[in-house]
Amino acid sequence: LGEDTVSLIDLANLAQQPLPQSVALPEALRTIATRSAVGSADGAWVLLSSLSSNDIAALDTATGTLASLALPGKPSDIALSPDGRTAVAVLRDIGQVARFPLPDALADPGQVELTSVALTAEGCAAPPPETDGGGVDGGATPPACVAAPGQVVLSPDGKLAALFTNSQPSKSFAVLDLQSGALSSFDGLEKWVDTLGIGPNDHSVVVLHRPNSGSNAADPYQKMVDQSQGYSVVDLAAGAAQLELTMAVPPQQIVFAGDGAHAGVTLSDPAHAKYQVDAVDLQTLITSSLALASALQFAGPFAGGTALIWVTQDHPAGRISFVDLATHQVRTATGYALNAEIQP
Amino acid sequence: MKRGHLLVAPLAILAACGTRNPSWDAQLDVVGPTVAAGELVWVNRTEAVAEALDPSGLTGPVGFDVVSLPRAVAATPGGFLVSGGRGDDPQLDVVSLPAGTRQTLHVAGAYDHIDVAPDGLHAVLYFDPAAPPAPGAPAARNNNEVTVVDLGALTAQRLALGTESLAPESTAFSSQGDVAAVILDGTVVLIDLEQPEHRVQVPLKLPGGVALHPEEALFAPDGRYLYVRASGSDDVLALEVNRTDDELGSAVNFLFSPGASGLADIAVPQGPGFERYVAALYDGPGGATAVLLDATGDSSRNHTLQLATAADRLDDLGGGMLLISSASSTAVSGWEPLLDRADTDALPAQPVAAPRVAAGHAFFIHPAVSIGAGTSAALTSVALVDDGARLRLRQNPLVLGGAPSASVVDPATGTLLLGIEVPREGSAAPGPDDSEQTGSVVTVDPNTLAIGGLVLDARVTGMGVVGGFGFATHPGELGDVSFFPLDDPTRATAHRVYGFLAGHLADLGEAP
Repeated sequence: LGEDTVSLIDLANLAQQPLPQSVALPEALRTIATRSAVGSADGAWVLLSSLSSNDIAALDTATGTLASLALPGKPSDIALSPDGRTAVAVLRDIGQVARFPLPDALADPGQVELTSVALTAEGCAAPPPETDGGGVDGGATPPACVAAPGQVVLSPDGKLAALFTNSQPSKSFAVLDLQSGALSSFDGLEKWVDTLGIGPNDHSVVVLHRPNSGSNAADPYQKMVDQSQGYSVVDLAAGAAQLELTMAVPPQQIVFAGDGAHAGVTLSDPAHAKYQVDAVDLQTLITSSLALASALQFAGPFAGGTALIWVTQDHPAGRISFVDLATHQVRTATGYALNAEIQP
Repeated sequence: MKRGHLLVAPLAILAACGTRNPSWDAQLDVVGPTVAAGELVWVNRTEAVAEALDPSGLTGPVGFDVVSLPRAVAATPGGFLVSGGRGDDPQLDVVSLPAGTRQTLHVAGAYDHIDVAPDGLHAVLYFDPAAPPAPGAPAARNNNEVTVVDLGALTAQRLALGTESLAPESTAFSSQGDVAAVILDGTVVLIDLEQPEHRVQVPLKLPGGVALHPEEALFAPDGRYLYVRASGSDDVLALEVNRTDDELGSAVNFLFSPGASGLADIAVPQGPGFERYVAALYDGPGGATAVLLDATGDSSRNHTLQLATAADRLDDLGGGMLLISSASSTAVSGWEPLLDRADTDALPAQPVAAPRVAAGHAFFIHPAVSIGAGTSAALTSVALVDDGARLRLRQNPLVLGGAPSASVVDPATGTLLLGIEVPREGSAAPGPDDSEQTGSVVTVDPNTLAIGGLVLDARVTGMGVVGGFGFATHPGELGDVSFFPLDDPTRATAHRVYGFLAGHLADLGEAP
């Protein structure tokens, strides 16, 4: 993605087409600061949106053609299902979520389905900023109110969309069934939402919280809860949530293991040299902390029905840990960059 | 106590006659003693002779000519090795004891170090970059090489290492004796001793150019891993050793304990259950942390002990027990890591040196312990006992009658042999001598703390065990040593031999 063009590179055909194919972007999508883009896993589609425009651009990478779809509001976030055939756009300015099939909706905008979503929120006395990710001043617990979601995360199978906001203090999120259009809200969280993920079993959600550092709750315990870092594990089917406070250590990333029964939450506090992976049992909601040696970089699952995930970490010679979230075994290989220098 | 006055009286007469050969006045450059094949061996580098003493005293001192310009000596199960020679004809002498048979191997250099594998079948020779080249050799030499000697076949193979490091600093051998790890300043080279052309270089250089300098290297009991403590890293480097008939391979992993810093010591505990484990001691700002690290990098198998006090030394007591102590404090801890049990106590005073450890006991020597209104040197025996409910660290203090000057533990029995300086007057030692002090040997049984010992005729500068005898060396340039049987350490059974390093002077005669 350039400022005013999209360059398509066919990695399987570089010899025949060494130069990228350029596709010019419409004027509304040329402001990088307000632009979002998402691609389908198979590379067939790229969606682009702008906070300043109601139009979504859909790029068919096979033909290099760019189509436009007008929505009733400005998308604050967009997502594509893993098969690239269903798109979701959150229209925060009108409190709605649009979902539509690709490519059919491009030719028939009538296939766009809209759902109104309202989240329980705090701090409605002050208007929320127009972009997600901004901070919120802490203070006295604001009166409860409703807020529109600004962000969307899809489940790995593309059946569910979790809708939430972190531009406004909110302890709730909503789940939209992309096939039936059924919407449900979850209001049982103890702390503000920062981001979340849906597990492959479609009923487990892990929510990473952000602390309310300015909490002036009268109850010391509640104040400590407000001010701590932490995350929650939610079982949608049971309607239960388990809060895990991590005190000063902020959670970083959620990884769902391939077995569908476990998740890992990476946590990193470089100031106190505290690094860990929390293994989450999605059936019991019990968590176990597993210590790691150095600052965390990236984490991910393995394909197949395994509870194993990988976590790379800072080390001058390279470090990766393989964490079995079921058995809590942590095996770390450090120095693989150095191993390349071993010679007979 | 029997005395062996060797050569001293006739030599004194010779020395007084006519114009003396300069060798009469030159200070001898002597290396030793080395315990070799049940005898004590000194190498007189000044005169290129070796002197061997039979500790039983049944035979007198025996001298052997060795290679000219000798540089290093090392014991083998059947005798000893001496390296040296001119730079244009470097040699290695292989001497067998007690016959004194000498076989000379021509090797690639006049090497400064000889390290012998535990099975005595191979030796590794290497240079000391700080030592000058031998006469007759070029003024520069490639320190980045070793020579592997097959002591059975009496063959030598020079290996140019070609590493980015300056020179070998030490070697470590697997307990099987089949692999040697040559430790350089930033590289470890593993060598298959039975096929020296099979070797592998493990450069300890991080991306960006920072080299880790090995400070300690220990093989796992089965030789599968080499554990390295290196400056610049809080991780223990585990070098996996893959030896086959066709090749020698290696892979490195950095073992860590989350949050622990200040790696101070490592140890490889022996015994069942400790396979694939190395113990590490971290002396961090908030107190020490001892960790039993899994060699494969499985940190979920680690065992950790957090201490509130500083500690910088780990010792394996055997039986699954480790002792943790400090050079800077009185704190001492016992740890049974596989059962996650520990006990901590304080010694009566700060120890003067690292403990002597054998047969499940550790002995700490204190230069001064408060006793009444004064102070005295003391000894504390430490052992770990399982009283059925918990692990207990048991201390037994002993007050010493003089300042300790040397010590050794008999590895067979765990008996501590302590050389102590005592006033000559009132002792059983004859006097007067050149000193108002003399030496006394104290023996301490680790289990019963039964005390034994004997008074010697001179101060003690060093102690050791050879065969079934203990020995104490005394001051003196011409050699002075006392032997006593370990099972009956009394003055009546001891004998002293001195002047044995002067044997070569009998050949000097009068200068022309």
